[in-house]
Amino acid sequence: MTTPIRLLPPQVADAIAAGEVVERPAAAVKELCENALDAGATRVDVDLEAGGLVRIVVADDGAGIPGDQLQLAVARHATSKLETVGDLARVRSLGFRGEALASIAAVSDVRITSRPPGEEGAWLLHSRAGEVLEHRAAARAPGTTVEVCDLFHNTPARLAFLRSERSESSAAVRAVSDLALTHPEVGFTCRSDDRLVLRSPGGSLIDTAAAVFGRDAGELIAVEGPGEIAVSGLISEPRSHRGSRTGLVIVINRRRVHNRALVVAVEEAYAGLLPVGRHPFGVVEVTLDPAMVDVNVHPTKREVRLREEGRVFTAVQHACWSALQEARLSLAGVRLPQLGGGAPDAAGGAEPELELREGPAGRPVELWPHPLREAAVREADGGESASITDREQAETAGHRLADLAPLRPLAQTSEGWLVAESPRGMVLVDPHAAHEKILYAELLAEGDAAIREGRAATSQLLLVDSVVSVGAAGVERLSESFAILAGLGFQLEPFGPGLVRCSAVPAAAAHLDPERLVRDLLDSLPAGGDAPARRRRLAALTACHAAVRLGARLDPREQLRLLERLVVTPGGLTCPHGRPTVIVLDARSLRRAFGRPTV
Amino acid sequence: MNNWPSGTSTHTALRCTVSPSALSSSLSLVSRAVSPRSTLPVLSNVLLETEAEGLRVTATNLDLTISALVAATVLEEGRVTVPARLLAEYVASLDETTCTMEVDERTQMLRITSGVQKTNLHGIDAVEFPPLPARETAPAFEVDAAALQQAITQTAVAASGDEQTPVLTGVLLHVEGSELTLVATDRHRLAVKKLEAQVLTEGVVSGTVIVPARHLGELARAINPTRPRVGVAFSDARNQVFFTLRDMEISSRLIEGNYPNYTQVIPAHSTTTVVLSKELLLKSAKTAAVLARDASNPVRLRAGKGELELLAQSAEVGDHDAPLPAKVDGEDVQVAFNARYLLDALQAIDGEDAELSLNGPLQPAVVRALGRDDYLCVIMPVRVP
Repeated sequence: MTTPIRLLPPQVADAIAAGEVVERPAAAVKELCENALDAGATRVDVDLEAGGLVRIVVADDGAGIPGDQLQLAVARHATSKLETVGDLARVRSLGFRGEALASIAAVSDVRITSRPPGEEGAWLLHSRAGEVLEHRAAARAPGTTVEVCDLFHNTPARLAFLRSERSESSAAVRAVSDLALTHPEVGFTCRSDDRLVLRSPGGSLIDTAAAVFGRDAGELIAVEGPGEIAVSGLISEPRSHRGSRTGLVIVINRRRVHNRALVVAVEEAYAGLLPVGRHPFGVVEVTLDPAMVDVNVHPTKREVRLREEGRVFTAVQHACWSALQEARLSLAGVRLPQLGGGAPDAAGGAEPELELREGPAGRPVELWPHPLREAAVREADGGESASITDREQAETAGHRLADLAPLRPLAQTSEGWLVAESPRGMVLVDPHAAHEKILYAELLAEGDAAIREGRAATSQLLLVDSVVSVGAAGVERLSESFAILAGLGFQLEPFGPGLVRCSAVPAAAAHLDPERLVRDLLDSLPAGGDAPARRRRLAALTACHAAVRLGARLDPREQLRLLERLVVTPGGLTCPHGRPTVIVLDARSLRRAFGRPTV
Repeated sequence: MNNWPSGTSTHTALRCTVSPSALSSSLSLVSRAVSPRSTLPVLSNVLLETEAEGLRVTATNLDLTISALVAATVLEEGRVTVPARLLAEYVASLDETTCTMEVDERTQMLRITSGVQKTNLHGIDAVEFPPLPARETAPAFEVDAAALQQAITQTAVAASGDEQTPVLTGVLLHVEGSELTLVATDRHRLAVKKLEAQVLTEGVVSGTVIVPARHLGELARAINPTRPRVGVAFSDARNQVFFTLRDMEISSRLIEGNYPNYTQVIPAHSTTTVVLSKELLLKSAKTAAVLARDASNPVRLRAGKGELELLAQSAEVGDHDAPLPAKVDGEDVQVAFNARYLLDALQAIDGEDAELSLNGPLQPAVVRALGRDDYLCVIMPVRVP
């Protein structure tokens, strides 16, 4: 039996095509907000019900749609933004396919109320599954309101593929925050089930970032990289980091894009500053000739293709790296536990107005004004959201490490932490992390000097060479890095099949078993990777092994020596894995913790 | 509670009188074998047991066992274990010349009576105490205690602290005829000491064992003029060494494994020989070490034209330069060493003058006392710009 081939009825075809563009409520929210922005809105208000599945309302104060064009707005490939194919190469507006509203209309119940400024009244168009049900005069201030209900009601398969209400909700809110970050001059509000989850004032990027990232935004580092490929934005300081990459927003020519290479470029700039598995957040904006970007890769315009991606990568990496080098790394005081979970401390700084946080299941998005509550959520959330350091108290001004000099040791606790005193207050030191960073910096500095002066790096020669069996593949992989390792003070050479001979090690690692060290170096060698990254990785591993263990007893002279070296170590606030080396308990924090009035 | 598979008697009613000061000094040595963080409560205890000649106190962490015999008047034989630290602190606080110790067999309570004071300490039944390594044989050889003490100090310093390579955390003891050799190395330096041994058994004594350096340190600590000789015995299984002193016995597990062939790294010749006052060099090296405090910041030696110059510099602090009068034979040379290694070697040698045998900047150097070949220290240089 044969099934005749038929042309699909237009509504079916539209519903299928719509799924390509609007695959989830967040996509609809994004498309509607982009339309609002393209209409020149200065305020965009988003209201979500059940993560957008029940209802999405996007209202703006933009140009509006004349009543006679409303029907066109829900027709496919109708757009006010392109007239010729040639315009495609110069796309600077956000939406252009003319598909968005039509696609949404094809799979939902849509009411558009719009009034262009200067017109007497507003018009309302009501369509369901693409079919116009009503078109009449209405009342509204200038601007457009699009209300989308029952999204995907006629495509049950799509409905079935949606994730939990909570995850749809956070995706939708994220879409709005992304747009707020890319259009900081526009004020955004977003409500989810009647809770206000985002309110960006519409002004500077820093204010918008504060609204999006929460109170730690005050410590974001400004990125400035002018040029043909201009890079700007705000990125998190190394002590703040997140468990996922979703907090890092990449913007190209004001469009939020997903480009893995540029995310990596930003993360590369943090090499050696963040703990393994943790990620920076913030917004990085690239401005370049539109001809260098192909945005017409994917219907949702999520992905873009870059010509000369390498140059863009380098520009981003360099701009972020420079920003991090210059930044005053904050030595914010730790948040001392508030026992009893009482009211937020009265003496504390003003709570930020609003924070965007993803809540636990059942409570899609919540406003979390209280640190303890947030900590509980974080735990329930499996640590996916913000890290503790995300919310270091903003009022504790940043210090430079050098500000802590002279750092005088007072004692070592039984667990091994050092207690020290500095002009800025009491300081707790992780001796392992501190020593690790000192050695790491010394290894790299000595290597740099050796390269500059064209000589071998300082190294402790071995009385008895160590012959390490690493297998043929191991010899191959190590050989590629022999030069890098020599720059760190290792002297390695192939020594017969599957064997490597080690005849010298960095002086700082002289007390270690070279055989084991060489094996660990091999294990930690990333597959591929550029030479500087490999070098940092190998230096970090060597430093980690050579550093004093937490718990080892240090006599007072050793403690003093360690602290003296730490305060002059560049980037000494974090170990090579990004963990803090010191915690400053300044007088203010301590007074607060003890419930004494702060002076 | 763990029951050790031993057939020890459960008869524990002990009663004796003993001098608190004698007991206290023995306890302070024996307690060194108590492991501070043992998961087994009885290992925090010291075993008290009566013998014909007095009261034996023993502590063990299973790797190291130290026991001492304290003169006591035994009124009733028995055994008990009590918390080592507690007992040591308590006994040290007693002023009286004698005290009586007795155990309640039922409660395992140790009652100490001294003058008008009566104190009860909770004990643990001695059957819980692990079986101790038994010395099956008489000592194979004997050495002068003071000489051994010095030999341990001279070599143990060169042993490695890195537990990843167990053999290097030990000191090699090699006996051949009437010569005992102690060797230690951490891969960058090597210390070798030879001393005379008096063979006590029939036939040829020859063998090599590796003893944890830390355990030898406890032996060195126990040596004083009242214990003039040290006997050395091995278990039949060759996994334990026993050091017997007048009133003490210290036994240690041996480290298994192959020790590096140390003889091949001792250079037979040198290109430069420097002889100078040890005191002067040591003093100067200490000063230089102030600036060369970190491993990556070595002391540089420049030998030539009748002097040895010590240089040290530190980017943050400054530099140091000290020319010392010296007798230099051979090529002029500049070589750098980890300051710690140089200091340790100089502090370990006897005599007035030190002899440095250098072999250029990349080959091992030898430090010894001029005219003495019982001790030497080989140091590998640091390669510097």
